[in-house]
Amino acid sequence: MKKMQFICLSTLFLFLLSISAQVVNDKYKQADKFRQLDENLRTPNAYRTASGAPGHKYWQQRADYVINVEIDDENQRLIGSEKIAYTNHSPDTLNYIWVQLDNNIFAPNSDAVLTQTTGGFPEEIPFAVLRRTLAREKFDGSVKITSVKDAFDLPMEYHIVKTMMRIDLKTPLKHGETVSFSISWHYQINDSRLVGGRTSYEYFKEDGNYIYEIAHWYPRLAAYTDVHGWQHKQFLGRGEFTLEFGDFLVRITAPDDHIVAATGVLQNTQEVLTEKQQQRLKEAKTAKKPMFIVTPEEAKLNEKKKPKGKKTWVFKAENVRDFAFATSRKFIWDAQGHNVQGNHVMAMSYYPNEGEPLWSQYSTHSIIHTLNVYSRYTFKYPYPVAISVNGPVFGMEYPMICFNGPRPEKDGTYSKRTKYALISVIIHEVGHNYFPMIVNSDERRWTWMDEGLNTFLQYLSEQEWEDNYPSRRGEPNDITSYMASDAQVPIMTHSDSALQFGPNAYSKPATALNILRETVMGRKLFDKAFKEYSQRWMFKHPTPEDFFRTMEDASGVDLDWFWRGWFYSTDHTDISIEDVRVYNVNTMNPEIEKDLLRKKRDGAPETLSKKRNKTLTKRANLYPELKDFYNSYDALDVTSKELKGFEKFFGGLTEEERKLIETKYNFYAVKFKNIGGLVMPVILQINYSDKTSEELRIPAEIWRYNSEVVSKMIITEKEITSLVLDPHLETADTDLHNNHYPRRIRESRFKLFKRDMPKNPMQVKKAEEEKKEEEKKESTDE
Amino acid sequence: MRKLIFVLFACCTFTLAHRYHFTIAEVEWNPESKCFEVGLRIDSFELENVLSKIYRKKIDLEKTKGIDKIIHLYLQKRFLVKTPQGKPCSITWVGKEFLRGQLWLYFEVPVKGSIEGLTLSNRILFEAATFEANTLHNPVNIMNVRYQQHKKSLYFTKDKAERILSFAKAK
Repeated sequence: MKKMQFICLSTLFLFLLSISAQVVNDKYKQADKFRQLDENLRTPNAYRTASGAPGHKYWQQRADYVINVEIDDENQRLIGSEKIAYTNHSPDTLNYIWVQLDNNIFAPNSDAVLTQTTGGFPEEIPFAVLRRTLAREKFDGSVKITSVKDAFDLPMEYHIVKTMMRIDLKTPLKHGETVSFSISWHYQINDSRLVGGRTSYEYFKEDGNYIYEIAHWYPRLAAYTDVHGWQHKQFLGRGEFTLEFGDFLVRITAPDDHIVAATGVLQNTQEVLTEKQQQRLKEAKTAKKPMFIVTPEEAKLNEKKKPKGKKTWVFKAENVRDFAFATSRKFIWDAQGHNVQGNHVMAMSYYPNEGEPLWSQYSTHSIIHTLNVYSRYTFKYPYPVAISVNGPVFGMEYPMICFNGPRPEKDGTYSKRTKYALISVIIHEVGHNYFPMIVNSDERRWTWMDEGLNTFLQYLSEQEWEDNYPSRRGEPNDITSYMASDAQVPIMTHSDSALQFGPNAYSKPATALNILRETVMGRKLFDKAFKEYSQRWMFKHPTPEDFFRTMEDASGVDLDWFWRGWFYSTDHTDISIEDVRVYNVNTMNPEIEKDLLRKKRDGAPETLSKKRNKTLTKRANLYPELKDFYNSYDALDVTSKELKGFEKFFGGLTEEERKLIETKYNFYAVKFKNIGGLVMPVILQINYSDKTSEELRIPAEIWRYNSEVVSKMIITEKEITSLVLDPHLETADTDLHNNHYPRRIRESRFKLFKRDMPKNPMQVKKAEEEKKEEEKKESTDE
Repeated sequence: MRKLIFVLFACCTFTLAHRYHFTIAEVEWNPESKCFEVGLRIDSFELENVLSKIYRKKIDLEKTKGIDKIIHLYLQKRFLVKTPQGKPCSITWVGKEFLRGQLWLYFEVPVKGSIEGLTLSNRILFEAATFEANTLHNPVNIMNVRYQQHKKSLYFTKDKAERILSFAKAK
């Protein structure tokens, strides 16, 4: 009795756990997987409509910058001053303004450092790890604000809250008004060897030079939106950022032998480039393939130089939400002008000789390829340049410019893995121009909104690069191990709390979109809706609901179940063929029906005892007089009464009823069980005895009354020999052995590998000899 | 409690990777061989990065001589299966395979006696997290364990690096 109670309690406990993620009816006891998302989504209003588009009163703020910045190559410091013009388009009056100081994450007592947890050290650790651990505690790369002044050069009140700064306005900023103010600052740039991140410098011991990749380097105006007010959530290191659009005029001062790459268009070409470089740049605009502006040999020579002074590079960028740059005397520079749907774009790459020969071969090509494919699926790339830089940061995106890490070996050779890692990371980071640099979603809140959408388009672009491109993410069967695991939180988890960042914000949403496109909606409907979302929200701030709503609005497909399952829950796909039953029509004709019964009886297996008893001498055989009517009577013999009865019955039928009864149809009732919890379309391959097969594609709505078990009738004149669920591996089903009727034996990846394990030639020879030896033995045995 | 740690002196500088320190292992009990059969997926660049730091030289998964032995040794220190008496089970190396930039490692862990109550820990790539400052990706290692008809998914983080394996409740 006690045990019973325990079981009851534990089931109750499990049940309570499950309702936290799903809405379960008390009596029916099933999660409502098709419940509309209305109660989860924000109420539509004049700013954001129910169709997922910006409303007629949509507004957003604007921030324009003029920045002077210098890179101190002697001390690896950054010194800057900026003037921001902030325009309030909101209906609200603002008493203060928030700016981001993301670089304060490099303060030794930053929240990022303080909240970092540890599992202790393993028994032995590499020195580099210990050195980094210590450096992180000591290094101070926080922003030193030297002044905050208003338009009249008078000091303004400000308050620094870790990675955020509030500037108090002397007069409240009303709707439609612009306020100008200026900030001066400096900070120590972090060394990638000790304190890495999305921005850093890399030191090259061999030639004593540096590459600087500079990001979140100026006080950036925080976003203020209709849905969140000020986005001033602290920077903890993961949730990246969202900002406001504006124009930038940036003057970057660096040693005069440096080459500078930056967001925007270079304004003073004549001042900073040699005549030869200017000429090459001009030619590159119409070149058919990437052209060197600075050749590898020239870059090699530059490495040995000492600067004679400083040079200031002036860049202008319009309608961007951020600005980043890179500078070094080590840079090779190549460029190719490219026409993207009528927009002339300079695709350019900057990299040291350490990146060769990979970079000159692949970088600029990868940029152009990305612009072509992404523009086709979203909107025409609107900016005049697109840049990829090689330096210490593995992969990080900013408007018009991104930083990418992969390099060949020192001897110039490279593995296949490195080659594809480079192409993939460039596609990914250049792709980020679309999401979130232009479709300005909030990555501090929702990483998946740009990483997921971007990884999905990265997959499409990779597959257009060459046949069988080794994409790491996108194919449903690559995500099944993760989907089946317990270490999961829903995609709709805040960026800083997502447990498994890679699968959670990249692979799972990217794969979900791929499944949506291929299996749920179809390419045409999906592509139209995806493009609609991109175009509705380009240069605006979308939220998850704007995406969910637009995808439905433009396609006419109810996808609430899909968002609920894939984005709000941790359910996975595991559908099983539980049972198959065959039904035939009873003809009522005793000749046919009894014959069937007889065949069944005769075909039944003989028990062992019966078989053995067969040879016994039976008394009734010895004394035939012991046999009577019942020994020869067979209940399955057709009697004349039965025949007459049938004739009467048949005669009473209409022509139509007669036809129906004579059909040769087989009715197969296939029972599907939803083990993983995720409702998904049922894709069934039906194989017949005549070697033909057909495919049945049932929408996910088959689960709408019962999301746990459903049966489907397959009506056919043929005989089914086998069934395969999800034959094209398109639903991310985590357990394939139960997808077969008849069932198949499960083979783990380990077993497959061990069976087909590549053997070296010596092993092959040894095995052959052993086989010969065995054969010899066998023959002598005989 | 004072615990001595041995510092392996490594001096090589290395391009850091903005990666996610995430591995996933399919672990299945083979009753005939009395072994756990493991297929473990890991980012090949991350493994190279960690091994290079430990060995103070560039370790290349495709070129370095004796690479299988190096990985095997690393697994023996980071992928631990211990008996309830605290005795570690050895790892038998089977092989490795590259699949779309990912590396699959295959190995067996023979267990003498019952598997009930074994302590599992998986600290693979835990040292990688300290390489970065403003990205903060905490390592997570997943083990999806199959034992007879039972399935169990375990995960290992820096805060929860050890788990006791039990299927008693699962029945």
